[in-house]
Amino acid sequence: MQTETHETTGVVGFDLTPSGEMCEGKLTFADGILRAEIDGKEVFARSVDDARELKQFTDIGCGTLELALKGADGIEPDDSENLFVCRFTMAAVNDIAELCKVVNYYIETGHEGRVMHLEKSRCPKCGRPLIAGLEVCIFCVDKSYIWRRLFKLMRPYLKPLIASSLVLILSGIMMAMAPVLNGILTDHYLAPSEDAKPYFSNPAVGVLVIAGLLIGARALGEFFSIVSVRIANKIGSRFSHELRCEAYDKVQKLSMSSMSKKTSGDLMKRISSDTQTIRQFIVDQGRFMIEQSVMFVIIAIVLLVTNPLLTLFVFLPVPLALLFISRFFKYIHFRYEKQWRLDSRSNSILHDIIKGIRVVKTFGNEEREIEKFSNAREKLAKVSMSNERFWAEVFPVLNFFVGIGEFFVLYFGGRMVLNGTMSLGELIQFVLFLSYIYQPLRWMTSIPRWLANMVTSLVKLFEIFDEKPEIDDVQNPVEPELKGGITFENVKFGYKSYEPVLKNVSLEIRPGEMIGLVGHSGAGKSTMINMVMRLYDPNSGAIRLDGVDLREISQKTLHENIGVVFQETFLFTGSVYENIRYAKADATVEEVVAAAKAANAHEFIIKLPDGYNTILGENGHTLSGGERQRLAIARAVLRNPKILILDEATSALDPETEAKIQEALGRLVENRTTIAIAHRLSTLRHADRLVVIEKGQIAEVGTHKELLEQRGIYYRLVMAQKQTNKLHTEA
Amino acid sequence: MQEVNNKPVGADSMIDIGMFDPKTLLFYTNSHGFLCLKVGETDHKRVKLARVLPFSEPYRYISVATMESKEIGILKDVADLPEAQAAIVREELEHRYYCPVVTEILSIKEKMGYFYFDVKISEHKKLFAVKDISKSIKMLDEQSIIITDVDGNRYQIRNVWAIDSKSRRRIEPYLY
Repeated sequence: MQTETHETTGVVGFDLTPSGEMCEGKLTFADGILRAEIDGKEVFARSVDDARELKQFTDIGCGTLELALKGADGIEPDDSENLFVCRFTMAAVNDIAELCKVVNYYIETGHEGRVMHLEKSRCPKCGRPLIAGLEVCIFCVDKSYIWRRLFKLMRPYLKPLIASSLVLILSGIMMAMAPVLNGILTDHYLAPSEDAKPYFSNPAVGVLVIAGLLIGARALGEFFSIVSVRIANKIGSRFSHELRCEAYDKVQKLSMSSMSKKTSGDLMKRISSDTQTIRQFIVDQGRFMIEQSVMFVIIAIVLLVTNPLLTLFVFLPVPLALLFISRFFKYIHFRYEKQWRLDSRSNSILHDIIKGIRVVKTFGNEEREIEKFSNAREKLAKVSMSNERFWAEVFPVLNFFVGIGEFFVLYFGGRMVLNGTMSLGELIQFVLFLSYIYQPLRWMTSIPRWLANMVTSLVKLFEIFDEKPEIDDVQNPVEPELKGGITFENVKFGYKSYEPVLKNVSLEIRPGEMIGLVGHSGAGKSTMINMVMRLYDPNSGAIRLDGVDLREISQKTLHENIGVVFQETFLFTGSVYENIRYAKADATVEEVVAAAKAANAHEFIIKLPDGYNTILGENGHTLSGGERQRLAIARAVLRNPKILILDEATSALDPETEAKIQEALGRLVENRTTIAIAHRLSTLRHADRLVVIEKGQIAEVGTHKELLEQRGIYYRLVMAQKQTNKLHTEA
Repeated sequence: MQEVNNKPVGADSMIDIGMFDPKTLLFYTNSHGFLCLKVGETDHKRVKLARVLPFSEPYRYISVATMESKEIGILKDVADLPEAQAAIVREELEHRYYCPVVTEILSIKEKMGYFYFDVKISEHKKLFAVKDISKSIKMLDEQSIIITDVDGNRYQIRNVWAIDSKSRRRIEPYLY
């Protein structure tokens, strides 16, 4: 249900002058007067009392708003006398549609409504366009809020996570023992200075002990690292599992209208890959980040204690190197991205040629295609060659500069050793530690990217968690015993607010009646049945079941009382039995078989070697279209609903199969309210009444015979079909 | 194409595509500023224009239709009309196809798979977002490109090699 919590003013913006310059425009509607101003100057102000409609026309990349006036003496004028109000780009199109609704409501009823539910299209803070379906701006989202929330999510795992990090730090310390031991080895036994006090008088024993210690430290380090990874993996799996379940659970509850804003691919991505990103961060990168940072600090302290001056030389080039590396990789990324794009383009050309080889050959265009492909390959070859050369030439230079600290250390350290201000062991220790400092540098430059990826994934997930289902039960939903009467009461609806699909539809369907919905494609038939199923709520007006507003009825009751057979049957991976029982989880074998028999499905199921236990492949590809359709009918029968909806249930089937399914449907529609859509009009002959929908409105209502006599739209549709059928039989 | 009696036999000889004879046309704007067309004796009170080949032939092959989207005919070349009428038709086309020219690219930032363009259109700054960049940037020929943003707005760069070098460097990785 729409709430009034969004915007409650009659003001919307527009952004183009009549001649197409960008501007700041404002449209206001108050007290029956529509005003438009550009950069603070009023350009249009007029009462809408003598208006017929405020009309929005969309062009390419822009649109215009026009006020259509009533014609004199009740003659409906065309749009040539409209009054131009303003021009706008597609960015303003939704807001302006909302204003149109308000103004047109006023024109029709004389009541002032409010502009509700403005979809925010721009970030109010930075002005950047918001991505459809995302309520927050990815640039302005409060990062600390996200971290706090992540922390809350992670709280149950905090202890093992800290433990894992601590163990990892221990492992790091063990690994860092090597340079220290090397230093001792040199100073005490290999090249002992005069004041050296070796722990063992026999240098050979000393060397052996230190070698042993080295092995021991290494082994311990590896051991700790294994332990840490094991702990982390365990939490990671549990954490991502829980995240995924929560996201999945939420997605199931979202209404169709918010579902249709996101593609199924997008939702899949959110459930699987966004949770994966977060898991990866927590298990690998995050943990690693803690370890590396702690190690960095520890080593820095060790170095400082050993020789402060030399340490300065080590760290001097670090910021420079960081800058260098990040710049370098950004640039290289650009270059390789270009190569990647060219590669994917030439691949897609190849793909086209191979897939369409029959077309290419029949038109004799082989030469042209070969040229197209070789051109693309040539471009790719040029770019990749230049990239390789760049890499080969620049990377060593870069490495040289990044490692320049090492030269400093060797030069100045060497001089210190010669001066006697530093021991040889200390120098060796220093040089070995250098690699510990420089190695993570490249890795550190990618931290911002990881963090960004992680934050975006989190934002997307939180958004799903936070989304309130638009179609939700009211506080105390009623659960009436339904008889099956359906009433459409001045129903208006559009999937996009600026494109109304149903305009003022009113229709009364008696319990047990069979209604056939007829009309051209796109007339609004499917929308009507979607609304009966309450996949969407009307923008205005109401749909009632036995006099009760659909929005008052609990969704559970509603779904229990409505059965649907679509043109496209979705069968889940699983057995035939499970697929039929999907409609009623506690159905007995007898009930399932009865349903299958009623649907004329039993005979083909029993012919399958595995009978009702036959496993259907992905989306049931092992069955023919007619067989799948019969399974769908069996499902509907099993549910035994009061209201049955047939959406093109028998199209795309051969006449013989259709006859069988018609027979099954004939059994199914008895004692139920049925709404059927069919393009093949002969299917609807038995309907009690036919309702012809034309451009979102009800154009004709009556029996087959009555409508034929009227010689209106239905008559023309029937005649047109007869004509095509005749052509078919003649052919 | 097969040649018979020196006259080419092509699809155009099979069906009448309703090409106008420009001499029979009179384009004019009514008192409300809307484009109207008189063809011979028939007066169409308001008409809509559509480009048959919006990118390759923006001012040739213009389909003219009624407000109910019923095609009246096709104008082969706007230049075939007397200059005053041609000007009206050109203006109407430019109105209907809004595609501002980007003069400078200030930045292109990627976030979450969306690309945020910060550009200048003549003197105005404009921010827009693009999804699926490889499909949203279309190279019309070796130099001009069309960028389509998430709302369905289009932007053009007439000659990518002629804009300033910084802008070009920003857009170049996305061209092929």
